[in-house]
Amino acid sequence: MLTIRNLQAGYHDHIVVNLPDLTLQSGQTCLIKGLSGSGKTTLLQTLAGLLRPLKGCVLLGGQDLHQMTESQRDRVRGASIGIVFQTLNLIKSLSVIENILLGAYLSGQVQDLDLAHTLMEKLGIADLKTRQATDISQGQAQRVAIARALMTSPSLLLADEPTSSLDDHACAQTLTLLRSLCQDSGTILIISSHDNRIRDSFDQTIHLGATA
Amino acid sequence: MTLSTLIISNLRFKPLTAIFNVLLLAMGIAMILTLSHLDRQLSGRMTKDLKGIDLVVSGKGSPLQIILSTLFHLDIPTGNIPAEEATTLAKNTLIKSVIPMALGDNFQGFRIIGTTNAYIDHYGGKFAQGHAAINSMEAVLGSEAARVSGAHIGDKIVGAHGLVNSDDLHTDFPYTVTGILTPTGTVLDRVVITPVASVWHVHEHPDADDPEDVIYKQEHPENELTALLVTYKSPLAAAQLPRLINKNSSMQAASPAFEVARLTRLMGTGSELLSAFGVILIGFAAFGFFVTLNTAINDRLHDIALMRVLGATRQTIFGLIVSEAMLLGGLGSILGSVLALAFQAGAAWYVETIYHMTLPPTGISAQDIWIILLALVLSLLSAILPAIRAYRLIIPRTLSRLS
Repeated sequence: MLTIRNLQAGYHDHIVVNLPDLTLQSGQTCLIKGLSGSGKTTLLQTLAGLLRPLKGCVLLGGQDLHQMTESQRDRVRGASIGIVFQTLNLIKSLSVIENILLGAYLSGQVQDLDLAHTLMEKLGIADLKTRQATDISQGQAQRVAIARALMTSPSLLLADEPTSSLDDHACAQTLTLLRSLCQDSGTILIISSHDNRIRDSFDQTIHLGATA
Repeated sequence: MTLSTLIISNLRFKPLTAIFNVLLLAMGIAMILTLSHLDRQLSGRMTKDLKGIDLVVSGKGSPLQIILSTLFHLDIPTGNIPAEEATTLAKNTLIKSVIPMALGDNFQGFRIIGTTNAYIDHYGGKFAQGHAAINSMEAVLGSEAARVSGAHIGDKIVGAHGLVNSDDLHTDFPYTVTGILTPTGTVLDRVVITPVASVWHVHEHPDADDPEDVIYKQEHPENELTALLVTYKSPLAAAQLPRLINKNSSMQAASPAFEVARLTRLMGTGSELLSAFGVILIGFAAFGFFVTLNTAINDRLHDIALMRVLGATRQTIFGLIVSEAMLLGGLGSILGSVLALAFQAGAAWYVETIYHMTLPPTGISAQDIWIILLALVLSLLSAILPAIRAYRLIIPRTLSRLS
């Protein structure tokens, strides 16, 4: 369960986002909509424990992310939070399978090869396994990132503009995959996007106004 | 996926700079290690060849030349001394023992030394085959001289005039090989031993083709020796004997210990310079590591931020950067040591083939370990600053700047 209380996110004393209250149960989905500069990324970084909130708190499974020490937070993020970016998801010097196993390795978890294969099958990237990260397309890289994010069976998956660089077909496919995979594992899915093609129903939708 | 996969794939992704830096470090280490090997070899050999000889008495001339010519057989002698004067000196109460030495000819480049069996005993020579040369025109071969010439017991061998291989053969005066010595690792391996009488016999009549030799023989009709190798009876002799000889005789005394110290001081300057150059190379390699890692951090800001996002702690990232430098440092050290060992083996082979001298590899000494440790410490230091930068990286800022 993810609970957000009275959250003010931003840099230094510059408030970018205000989010009074939000609760998401496992398996639920949430869409954060807003134009560029409306603070979607700032909000996601705060939820990921990368950015300290100016006020309020973020509770994941009852634990306040920002009351922990930095290394504890790194560990919780590695184990319980999956993140997929718009671009630059992969480490170029590694192969696809190494990129997928990287998250589990860095967060000190079991590198489950069977799970990796299942996820690659589901995401349609099984034949890319040994390819170098520099060798695959943007859309494929994003699927690799999704597989990696799900490797640790996280309780929360954050996707920052996951569809903006994809064509209509890939956009729909990626969304469907994200939703179904999160559904299967009871992972809370939060997508931030300004993409008007995303019209599916979400359990919650937050509209951010442009404040910057 | 392990730490080594992460490090190795990163190095493989941009291999050229890594290879360059590793080679630079390896060259520095190899250079210092090789010098320390040569130094060990040289001083080891010199000590062996000088052992137990307190003073060398020869004709007037450069003391260093006397030592080089009579003990190491590297230079030509300064001149001869009358046998009679040498015999008188040998009776001096300050002297424990003398070994006479008459040079003049060579056998296939190996010097023929007219001396006594005391010379063989002095260098710890043992007979592999046969026995000592007792009569005039009998000869005993050092191990190298026997191996290279292929001469056997009972063979007749012919000396050539002069101290280097020449065509001017004394075909009328062949020697009979009576013994072959075991290797000693000293100068004894590279000489031919014969009684002094043989040398006198060969040179009794001047070489008619050589006018200088004819005149010299007319002026010096008596028997001569090239040098006396002297062992003192007491330390008191060191203070009195050299002065006595140099002042009151036609002979010149040279102290091996003193001359060799002078020689190594002269050569030492050169080898110290090369050592310093080696240290500079290692320093440059470490600086190269630093520049490479520091630039690499700029290129890898994204990777580092991503790894942090994926749950890597600051400490993990710090460790990753340091491990990478240590891996390069380790590779450079191993490669440098291997190069040095290869050089030792190559030099041993070369010196043996060309100069008939043994120069056995001495491996890596305890002192060399310090050089390798220095290289590793410098590699570590070079990684500290880049690692701190990576450690301090602010993730949200990096991510928003790069995406």
